[in-house]
Amino acid sequence: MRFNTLKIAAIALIFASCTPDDPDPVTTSFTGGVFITNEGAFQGGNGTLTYYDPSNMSTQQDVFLSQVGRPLGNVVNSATIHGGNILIAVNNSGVVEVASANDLSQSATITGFTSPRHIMGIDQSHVAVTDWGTGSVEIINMLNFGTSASIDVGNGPERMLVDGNRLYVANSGGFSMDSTVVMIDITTQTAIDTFYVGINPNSMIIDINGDMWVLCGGYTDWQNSANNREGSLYKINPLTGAVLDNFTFSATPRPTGLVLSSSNQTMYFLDNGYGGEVYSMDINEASLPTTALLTNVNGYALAYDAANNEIYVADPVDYASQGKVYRYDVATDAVIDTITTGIIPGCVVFN
Amino acid sequence: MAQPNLLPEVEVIGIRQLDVDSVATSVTKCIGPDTYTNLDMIHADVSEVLRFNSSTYIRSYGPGLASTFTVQGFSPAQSNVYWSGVPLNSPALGLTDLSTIPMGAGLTLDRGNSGAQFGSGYMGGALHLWDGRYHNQFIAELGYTFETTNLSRINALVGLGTDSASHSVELTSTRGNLDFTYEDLNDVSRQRIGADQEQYHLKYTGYQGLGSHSLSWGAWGSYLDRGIPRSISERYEEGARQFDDVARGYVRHNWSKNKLQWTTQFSGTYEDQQYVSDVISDTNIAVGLYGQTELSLLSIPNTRIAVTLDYAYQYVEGSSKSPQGINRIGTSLSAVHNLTRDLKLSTGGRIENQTVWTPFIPFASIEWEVNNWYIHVLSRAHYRFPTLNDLFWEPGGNPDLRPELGQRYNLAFGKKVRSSHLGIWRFQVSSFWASVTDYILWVPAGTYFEPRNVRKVHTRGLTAEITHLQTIGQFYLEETASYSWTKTTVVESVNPSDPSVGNQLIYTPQHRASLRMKLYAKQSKWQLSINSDFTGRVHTTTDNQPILALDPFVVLDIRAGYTFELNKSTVLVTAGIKNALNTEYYLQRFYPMPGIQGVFSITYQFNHEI
Repeated sequence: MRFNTLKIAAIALIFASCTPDDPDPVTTSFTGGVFITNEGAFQGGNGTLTYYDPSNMSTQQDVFLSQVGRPLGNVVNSATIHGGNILIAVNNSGVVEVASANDLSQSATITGFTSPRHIMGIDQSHVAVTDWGTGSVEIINMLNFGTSASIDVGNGPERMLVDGNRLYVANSGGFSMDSTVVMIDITTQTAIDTFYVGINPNSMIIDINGDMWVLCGGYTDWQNSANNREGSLYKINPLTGAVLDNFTFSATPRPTGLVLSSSNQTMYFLDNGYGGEVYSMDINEASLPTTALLTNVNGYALAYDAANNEIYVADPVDYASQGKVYRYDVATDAVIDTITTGIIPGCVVFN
Repeated sequence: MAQPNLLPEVEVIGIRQLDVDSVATSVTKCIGPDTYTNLDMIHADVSEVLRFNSSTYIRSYGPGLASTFTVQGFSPAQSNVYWSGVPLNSPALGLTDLSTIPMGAGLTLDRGNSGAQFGSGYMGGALHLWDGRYHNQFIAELGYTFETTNLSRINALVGLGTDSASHSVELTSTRGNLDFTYEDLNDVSRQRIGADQEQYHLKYTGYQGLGSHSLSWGAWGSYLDRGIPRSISERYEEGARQFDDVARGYVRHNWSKNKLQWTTQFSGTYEDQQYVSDVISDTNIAVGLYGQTELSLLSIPNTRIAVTLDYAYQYVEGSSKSPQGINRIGTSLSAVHNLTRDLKLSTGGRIENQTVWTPFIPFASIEWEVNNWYIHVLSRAHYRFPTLNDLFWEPGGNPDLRPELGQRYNLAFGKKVRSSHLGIWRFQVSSFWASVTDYILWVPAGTYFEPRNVRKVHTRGLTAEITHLQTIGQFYLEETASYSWTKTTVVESVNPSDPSVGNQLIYTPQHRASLRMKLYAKQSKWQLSINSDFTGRVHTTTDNQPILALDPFVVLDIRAGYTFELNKSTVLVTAGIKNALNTEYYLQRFYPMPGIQGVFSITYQFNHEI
């Protein structure tokens, strides 16, 4: 039998081109990338941490498990980078995990929380942790991981904001209602004032003019719609709490995820925390936007990458399997990448 | 009354006490002398009894905690549980928590063959729980079981029967802390907390024969107070509590004369559940009232025709539901014709209405026995109406839900071989293929979840079983090996990006196997029971992520018993080891099952013939 060497070469080329794509490279260095926390199914205990490298668009799943050697826990709510560490709030496990942000070598597990939600560094050696279960902010000393202060703030303390020597805490209502933002003196670690805004504030920014914007999610009473309250956006004086302006959303949306662009003049938010679209609003606009910036994204959480002027939108898909995060370039108006994550991606952190 | 069909697919899971004249007589295996008690079923709940059946999967949060079962890939809401014909599936949830069902006199698993007669939800099949009836005897029994997981059970039974009447009263109590140790996610050994429970069941059943008439009745009340522990991935503290008050009852009249038989049953269930936690609390009251009548006639030779008429009223209210009630009415017609002594043809159909009419639900089957072979071919449609929670939950309840519909095909064959030297051997292979369209699933709909008809699911598989019975000298030996393969996948979805398409349904293992051995000593009163079961990988996410699947495992239980005979009394003492291999395993992710544990029981029985 004679073989046609040309055909053999061609066939070999075909098979070579048909080999499966090389899997994403495995790295143990997490500098310069993006961490995505994935809540996991409620009570399923399958919360995870995804790492995304924007430079080569590679993704690694469950990096906490692969580096630390055990699952993260039950409802991984959020994370923050502080002092070279990544701190991860594992809500239903009642702990904050601490690991090196560069290689995820584990430093500590801080216990004693009831339902930790968000974490924010307030100075070189302290972080603040909001806890829904106790309605408080816990100030943690990162030198010994002990609690240096426990400050009662309100129902469902959620995201925080640091401005100078002041820490602001938005009380999102938890499973009921609240309408306050509490201001804490970082030096004395005590609450010094309470501001009143719309129903269930969840996120805040301070713009280029030094004004604070507070996004409020509103309230839905499933038994009696007459008790429903609309979401709103408040502009207040961050020192006095005086309301400078406010905008009311229509009844249906539950706006969430307020972030600020690198120019400190454009705000972005989701009109609905359960399948919403992304809206942008200039700080000088006189009314809420009516046209979405990003549609068909099924948004659950939002993050802004100031270094690259990019938006990351988290999509939980069906809340029972891998979710997605869309990486969007604001300047070119295009989706750069779609990142596959764990179950229910909820927080994007830039390292 | 729609009794379970006496078909090869009906398997008697077990009879607790063989000296009882049981209602269902479809015994597919002979266990041995009538006076031996099935050790595995002493003071057990149904989830524990069912565990070693390879065609089922028990999804459990732990001993005594919420446990549901699936049969051949069908969900718990697609598999019914009956007590003497009384539906036990909750009208609200559509399923039965088997940990709340103490083992009665006997348990039968029907893998779907009687669906057309029983109606909604009889897709995967059904468990039929039945009580004993006593003839010319008085029985008093008191038993106590203790497990080293810190769980104890007390069972007291009094039965009295004459030629034409029977009465029994049974009290079952289960209590314990279930504070066994386990390793948490940090490999730290911890003691389980928040799993303490109390269950009390009081049941009365009666029977009165009156010539061509007979009347039977039953009443069953239960009180449960159970801790719902947190998973090991949650913070280490007590979890929620659940309180249940449950009542069930039935009255059944049967009349038979010549070729005519007429049965009517009225039954009802009431459940009052309260779930309390530091985050969410919920109350739920559900009521079901059922009326069924069946008229059957042996008309043309060798043909029995039966007509049934069913009515149900279900009601629900609670913190997540406004008071709502719903009616259901159905009728079926079936005919069973014995073509020859060995060949039986069955056919029929059913229609039912719950706000909408089902299409005609037909079935047809052929059973053929020849030379110790039997072959059974079945084709039938099936359906399930949405539950009251599906319809009326606030928020999200969807009153526009359509019933799930589908089709099923079964092919089963088997053979029994008797040998004077090798005993009795029986093997059977049962294969099935089924579909479910308009599969109901709770999906995200903005700020809450709501049930929708979203998927089409195919399930197919087979169960192969071989049983050996033999007298060897002074011993009776029974061995059973069983393997089941079940592939249940989502084939279509209304959501084009549904990640479940092509994947195995969650908590539905593809591979299950069991090996059981029972040994009885004829002269002495020793018994030995060894059971092992294998469960393959179980996916817990719709996209079948391997890293989140439950690992395969093998569990081995060993139990020995000895019966003391004292005049008219017997005392059975047993001791055993559960999970003798100390396997670390989960039936529900992050809810550990106990490791190796001891189980001890003592049962006193007084039996007097009248």
